Amino acid sequence: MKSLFLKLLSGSSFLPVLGAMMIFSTFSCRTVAIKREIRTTHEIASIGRENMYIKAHMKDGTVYILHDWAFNQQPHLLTGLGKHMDINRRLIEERYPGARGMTGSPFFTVSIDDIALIETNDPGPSVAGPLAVVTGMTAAMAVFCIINPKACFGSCPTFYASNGDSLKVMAEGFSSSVLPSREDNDIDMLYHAVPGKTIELKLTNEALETHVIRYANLLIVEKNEGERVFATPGGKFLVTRNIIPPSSCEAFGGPCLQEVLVADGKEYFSTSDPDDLNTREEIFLRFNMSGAGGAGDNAVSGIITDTGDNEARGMSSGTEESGTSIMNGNSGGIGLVIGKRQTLLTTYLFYQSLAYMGHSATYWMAETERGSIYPETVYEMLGGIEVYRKSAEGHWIYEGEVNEHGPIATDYNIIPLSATGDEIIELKLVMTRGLWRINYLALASVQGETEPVVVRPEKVQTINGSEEDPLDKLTDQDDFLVTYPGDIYNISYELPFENAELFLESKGYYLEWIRDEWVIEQSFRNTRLLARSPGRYLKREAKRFKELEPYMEETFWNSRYVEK
Amino acid sequence: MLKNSLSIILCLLLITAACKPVSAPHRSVPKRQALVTDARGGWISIQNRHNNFFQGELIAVSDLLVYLVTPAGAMAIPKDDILSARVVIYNTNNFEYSLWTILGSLSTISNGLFLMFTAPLWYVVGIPVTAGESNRANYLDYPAADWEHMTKFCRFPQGLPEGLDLSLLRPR
Repeated sequence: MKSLFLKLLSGSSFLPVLGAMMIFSTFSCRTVAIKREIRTTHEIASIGRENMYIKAHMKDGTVYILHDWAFNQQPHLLTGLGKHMDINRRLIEERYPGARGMTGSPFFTVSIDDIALIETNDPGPSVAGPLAVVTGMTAAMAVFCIINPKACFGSCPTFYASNGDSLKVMAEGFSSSVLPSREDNDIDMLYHAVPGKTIELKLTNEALETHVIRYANLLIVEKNEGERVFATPGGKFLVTRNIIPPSSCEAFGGPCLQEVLVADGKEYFSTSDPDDLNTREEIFLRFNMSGAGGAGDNAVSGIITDTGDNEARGMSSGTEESGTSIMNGNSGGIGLVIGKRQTLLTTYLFYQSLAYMGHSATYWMAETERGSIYPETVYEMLGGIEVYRKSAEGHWIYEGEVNEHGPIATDYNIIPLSATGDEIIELKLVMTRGLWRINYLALASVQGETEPVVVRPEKVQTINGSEEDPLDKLTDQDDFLVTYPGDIYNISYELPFENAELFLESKGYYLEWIRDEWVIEQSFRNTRLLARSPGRYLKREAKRFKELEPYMEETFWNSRYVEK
Repeated sequence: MLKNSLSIILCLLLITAACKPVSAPHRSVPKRQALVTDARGGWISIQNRHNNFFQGELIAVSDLLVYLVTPAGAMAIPKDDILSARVVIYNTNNFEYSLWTILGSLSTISNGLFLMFTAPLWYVVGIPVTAGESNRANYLDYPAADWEHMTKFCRFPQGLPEGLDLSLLRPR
């Protein structure tokens, strides 16, 4: 074997590879700069939460190196966990929960007036990733998954679509349908999809789950330039214009405006309460409506019209309800657009509940199917994102709630707000701490309600999977497309409109595979607690979740099941 | 055969050293990943107009002076007197990645016949990664970069704290 190795190294077939690498190395002398920013205390509010660590250089020469930091405008304080170091950068004091000899609050509280400068660093990406992959990143992840199996990728069918540049995760189907009896449909907005006359969705099963999909149709709404269509939590489709961003956003974790202004990868999220997973937090939003182009301006023509040209729209044989885009008289008003996905808290709770059920998971599941136990109570307690509007009298008025399970894809919904002509609109979002990742918040002028056209798949290409005739399975309402870990199908649709808003409507359920590592934690006592005292259960699980929370998101995305 | 193989490994070492990384003395600056939690200044090497050389931790930059702390203590050098300077901000992992690649490729002996795939893979991946690491911009040169930019990499980017006794400053 040794001789084979040496032969290979010195063999003629290897030398071209080596030569190519030499050339690559020689000409790849590019530099990657570190990004260090120094800001004055006046600019502290503009420091984004993506900076996990900040350094507060004090006027006396000492420095605080803080993580989990927050800036409180009133009374002008910086708080955080970390270290305080002297002029020679020797440790003066260290603060983190459980630090030795620490009493009182674990947080440092620093007066902004004593700070000279704030420093942030972005050291740039590591280039060692490929090396780590070769040496066994997969193996390391497998080990991690054995130790912390609830952090690994899961939850429902995943749909990718092109954003005009590359394929991106855009939707996840029926995340809360974990049993046949829980089969349900789910509508997800394909917010970033860039369709042409056709669109292709890549359907994947990247978890240790069996996905049973009854259908995956597109809901299409024709739109005009400058319009976007959003679904309400109740399933209505509202045509909107005049998107108005918030002028301020204050949250539990500090300012959040930068995170919610644009529907990009930046997200506002907080961490869970270490003592109780069922603890609420509030986000305060302010919108300046002056010069916003007239919220409630209904005089926009040609928003959605019923042309009556149903044949022209029915270009797809898969069109189920052609020509149904009809504007209702329900126009006017404004709505709050919310782009959000869940953190891994619910995924953790679901996996942990299966772990506690252990070998008897099927018994408990059967009991749930029969309605003898009702474990959804935990998820109902955690709740969704409640929206409140501040009245002229200063009272908070409940406007609605959006709640959708799933940590994979950001979905966008609109909550219609009761009529208001105020120049300043103040809103409050109330939600469970550490449960939501909010990507986008904006007000939109609602033009009216519309009905989407339903488009069925035109073609299904099997990339990896064992189902015969998958197109029939997806279009026959009495049949299912069943997928297993590693399966990939490309689903093509023909679109009736060139300029359209797309939504994916999927229906089905999925079955989680119980992992051997989970069964070790079997505990009927905890299972009973989950079923009978969900409030106490959420308190009991808080500490355990807190230990995993910092790593879950990264581990989750790195642990997707891909067929080798 | 052995001679040929050693030649190849030597060649790999040369490749990884092709873009020789700029580095500071061991432990005088952190590794890149530790920059976010390290609060000391970069490692500065100064050549003045009298052809004297000074090295130490960059402490602060004022309108007229550049402060550094050397094992002998703190010192200040007039900016006008400085011909050239280089501040190394962190040390790259070039050596570690080179070693990783070489040991990794040798370990494919244990892969049986699969080494036909895994051995070349180590070089296809390892060499560009090592070259990329050695090419990181982990330093700033004066006068190419101005002093204002270099200030960011001082122990005291805000300037020397008022009333600070320089004799109290210690090197890393």
